Amino acid sequence: MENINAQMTILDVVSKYRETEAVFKRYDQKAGACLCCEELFEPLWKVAEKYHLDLNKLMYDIEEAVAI
Amino acid sequence: MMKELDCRGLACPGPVLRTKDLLENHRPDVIKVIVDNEASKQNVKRFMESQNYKVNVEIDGSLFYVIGSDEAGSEVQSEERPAPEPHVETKKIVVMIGTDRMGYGDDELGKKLMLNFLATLKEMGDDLWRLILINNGVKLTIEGSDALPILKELADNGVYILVCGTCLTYFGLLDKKDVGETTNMLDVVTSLQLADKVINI
Repeated sequence: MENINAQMTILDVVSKYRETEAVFKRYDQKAGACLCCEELFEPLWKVAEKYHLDLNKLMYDIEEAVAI
Repeated sequence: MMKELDCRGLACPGPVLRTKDLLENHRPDVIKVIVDNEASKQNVKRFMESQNYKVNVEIDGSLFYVIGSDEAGSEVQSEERPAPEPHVETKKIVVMIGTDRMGYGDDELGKKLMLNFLATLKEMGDDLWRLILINNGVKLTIEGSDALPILKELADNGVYILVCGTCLTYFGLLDKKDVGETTNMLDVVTSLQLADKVINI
């Protein structure tokens, strides 16, 4: 598995690991926006910053989804 | 080589992922992707441009045809679609409704006025491009609403009705919506940006 890092865009992540789409959907409500619609081309760190999301938790959740 | 992808009914990131797969596997000279929502249109267009495709978008009712041609290849050809875009010669009027009643004073009167307003909107003809329903306005779209037949008639006549998904979720009405497309803030902002005129109720 290629390491997932915060510089990767949402598109980078979901295109490599389709199973992570569900993770982003889970975060839509916290963000108050559809992340895959509105931030598809943005890096994870920037998305987390913009929507005040916990980046470490987001990364953990993504990696957990990929590991399953 | 021309490739076509029908992504109707797919939400983001589906259309972009399918487009990405196609470009990576085939790299067609021309690619046409059909989508039915604003966010997918924007994202597919942006992705094609990032892959050095020159992109045109054609609008047909609620459908978007995102057509890209490889910059190194031929110019975009609209595949025997000589007719102009339906909205090119008309104004694009967006009506944004944030309430289920019109004005202040008497709520019952306000609800009747809203029904009358919606029923009269068709007098705008082809200029009426989109209807955006936000906050309490989303209640006009749910089962049992008196406005439902009027909104359905507008939709049948080609008016694209956008219904705020966050608002539906907030009111617990996501499953009750019976007309229009559930939408997000990007669709709303893009609609306002593209409109020639916005009427705010």
